[in-house]
Amino acid sequence: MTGLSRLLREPLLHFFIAGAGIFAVYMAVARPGPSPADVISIGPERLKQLYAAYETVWRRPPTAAEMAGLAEDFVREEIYYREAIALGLDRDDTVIRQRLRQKMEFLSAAGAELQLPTDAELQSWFAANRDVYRREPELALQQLFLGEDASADDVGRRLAALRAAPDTDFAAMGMRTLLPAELELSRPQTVDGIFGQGFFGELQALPPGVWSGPVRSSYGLHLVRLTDSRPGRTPMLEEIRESVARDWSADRDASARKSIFAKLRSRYTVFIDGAAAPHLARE
Amino acid sequence: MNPNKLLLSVFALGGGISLISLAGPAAAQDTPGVMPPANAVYSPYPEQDFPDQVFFGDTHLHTSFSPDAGLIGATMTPDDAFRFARGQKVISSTGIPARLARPLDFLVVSDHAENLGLPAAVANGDKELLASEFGRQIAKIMEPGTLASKFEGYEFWELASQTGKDPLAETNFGKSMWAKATEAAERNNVPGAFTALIGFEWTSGPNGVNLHRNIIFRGGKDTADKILPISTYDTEDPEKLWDWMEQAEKDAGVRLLAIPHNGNLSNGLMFDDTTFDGRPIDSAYAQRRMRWEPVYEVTQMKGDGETHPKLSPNDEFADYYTWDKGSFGPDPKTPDMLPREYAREAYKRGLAYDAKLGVNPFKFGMIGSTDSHTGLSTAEEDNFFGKIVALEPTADPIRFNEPLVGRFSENDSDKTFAWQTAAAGLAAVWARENTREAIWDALARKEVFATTGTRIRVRVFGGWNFTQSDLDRSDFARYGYDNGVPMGGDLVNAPEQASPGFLIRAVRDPEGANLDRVQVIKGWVDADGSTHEQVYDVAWSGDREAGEDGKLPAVGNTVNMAEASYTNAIGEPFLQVFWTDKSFDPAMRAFYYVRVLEIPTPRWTTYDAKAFGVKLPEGAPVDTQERAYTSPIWYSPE
Repeated sequence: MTGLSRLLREPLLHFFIAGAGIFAVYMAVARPGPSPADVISIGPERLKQLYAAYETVWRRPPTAAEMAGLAEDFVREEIYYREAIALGLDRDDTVIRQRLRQKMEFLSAAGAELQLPTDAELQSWFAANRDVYRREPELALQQLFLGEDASADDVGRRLAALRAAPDTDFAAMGMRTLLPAELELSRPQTVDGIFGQGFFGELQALPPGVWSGPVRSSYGLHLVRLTDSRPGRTPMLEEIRESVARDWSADRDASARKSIFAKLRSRYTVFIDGAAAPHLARE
Repeated sequence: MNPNKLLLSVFALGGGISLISLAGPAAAQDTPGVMPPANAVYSPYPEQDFPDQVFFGDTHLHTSFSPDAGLIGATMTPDDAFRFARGQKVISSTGIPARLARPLDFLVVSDHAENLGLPAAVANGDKELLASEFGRQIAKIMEPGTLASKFEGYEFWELASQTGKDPLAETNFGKSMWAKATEAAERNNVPGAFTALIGFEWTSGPNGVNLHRNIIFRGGKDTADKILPISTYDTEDPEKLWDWMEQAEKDAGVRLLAIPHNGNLSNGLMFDDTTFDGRPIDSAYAQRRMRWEPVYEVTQMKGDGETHPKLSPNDEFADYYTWDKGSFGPDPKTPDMLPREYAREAYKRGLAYDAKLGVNPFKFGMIGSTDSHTGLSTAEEDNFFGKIVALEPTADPIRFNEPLVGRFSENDSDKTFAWQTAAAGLAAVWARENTREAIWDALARKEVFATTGTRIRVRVFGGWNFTQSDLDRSDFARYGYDNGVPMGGDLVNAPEQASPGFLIRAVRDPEGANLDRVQVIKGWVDADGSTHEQVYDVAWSGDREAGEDGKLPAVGNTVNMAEASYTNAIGEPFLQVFWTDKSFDPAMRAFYYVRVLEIPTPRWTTYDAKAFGVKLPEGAPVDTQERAYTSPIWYSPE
């Protein structure tokens, strides 16, 4: 990566570019000309916007008198706003502080959101976060229930019978319960939700396609035949590119926000006098 | 363009982005699987098309989007609620790390429609909110961010909402917050792995009595966003709600059903003999009620609504989390209200109405849910986060002693306290797959059952030709469907001399307690229109025999109070039975539902006592017998 492109990808730069861009738009729209502190000018854009806002709420255009009222109301708002800022009324207002913080946080993230990852970037990010995308293994099975316990003889006899006649009505050979005799390809959560925690793990050790066991569930002993399986695996990037790209963006957002804040914070010297009020801290 | 507008719209976009990032990589592992290669070998499954799985979920959960949760401390968003239900760890509103031992299979976040999203909007300085006078006022009140200011904000909202007029009617507020709610469901819905249904609660409470309904959507955000939730500001009348649902289905292509709850707090209005505006109910009312309200939430934190000890004096299990101290309004409960508040009595009266009107207005299935206002769907005794945020786990006496009903009375005997809350319940559905459509369809056809939080599985088929040996069939389910009806179904055309027979199988929660017994509860109406009920013990553990009073002895008790523990040394993991109704009279309408009881296990207050080293609240039982109720099977002579 060249120095320039590295610079172009620097989050703080994005922050300032985005901020400057929005500021430029703001200037263009709100301040058509020089506007000293004691001048309030309302241009056609502003009037159009007041008109439209009124129409949205009341489902009809404002009358001339109402329009004049809207403009006057805006003037009132603007004057109070400027005076309030001058008096510093915004400083201790939680709502205003929170709004400004949120705006800053959004601006810190906007750069990454607008940006698409390059292939290489996506590849390397995916490689670093593979585990997140891992898909759980799945097993399909047939089972018969032997009861809370069964003698080794009994187990051996039934296994032999099942193996000798794989097409037999196996369910008829076990105890009748509401436990399903067969399950289609199912995730560990589903299997353990029926047979109890850890059952899926036990099954993974079984050979495919043949009756084996006994396997212990939270109810007792089972003979099991695995009829299908799908190993747990991490999908190829191509299969889930969209969602990886989305997560990449979210991750960029978060780290941009973090690094911008770290840079902003580094400009400040912060004192927190915790020792002075230890009772304020929760253990 | 207004520069503020620009920043605000940019900001709104930012809000959306940050919500997406919440769902981020952690959720990605549940993305649907890819097709296997074409040459993959599949197992030879028999062709099955009947419901073969039970999914456990909660159709009734509130988050910080509900004013009566978010304005009084709940910080969990709908997204947080879904993540928690899917098994992820979250930090509760009071700062406690929380995780479910086992994830749920599905969840409806059903925030109150009345100013849905208000608390989140206050917290975020939502522009639609602040565009209104009411919005600015409540934001101002809550500005200090202290608990006191929150309560003040809550009271301010309550006063405004109690006028019956939507304080935000003139704004677009509802629309933007509804879109956020549906978005959260959309983001967390993973077909096959976890179902996030879209829903909301219509909170009709005339004079403080409970006529609430949760509205559940079959489809997704694309259609749900075309309408706005109806609220009690629009109407308090359930019939008007049904009008609205009908119109919404026509206008927006949504499919809807409504689930009422807490008849026990309705002062006789839930299953009333008259309509909301006072007419005697008629066949049109009955038809419409059953079209839109196929199931009832019979058990939840605010008490159990199966039956009441006064209505079922011969049922020794009837007094289960009985909440019969009035409603949330000022009027006390009187005994004449009870028959119009509980499910079993409604079933009986429904039969009488069926005989009179030709339609049964109370022919609903049963589910449980939590109605938690913490954003945390917890229905387990040993992991119970309480009804509201202030009652989350703590050694503080508030957890037990806060009055929830009868707050305005001076007498403790008029009150229901927090310790009386049930750590309940769950909605269990029989379906073929874990999707919105399959779960919604199961609710619509009433093939569902209620549990008090445990994951008992139970199945019942009723039919005319079943025999004892059918219970042992290896193709039990297929045979049951082919030759009978499942829970929620109808038995008709009784052959000469026949009695209905029921094939019943139950299995305990794989991580839970053994079963004590299986019961069939029958209700019927005789020729002169009077109704009756009978509870039959049909299967039980051990070699107990009924005593002279016809009652089976209690199963015993292994609960150790100090340790808050129990063992499965008693009871059975499986119970199954073929039962026929020997006193069947083909001329009389009847219903049959199955109740499954677990052996006693420690109640949540007992777990609390151990965890926090506090005393049990006075009057609180040490243990509880958790249970499941199936939807009935109905018999009708026509």
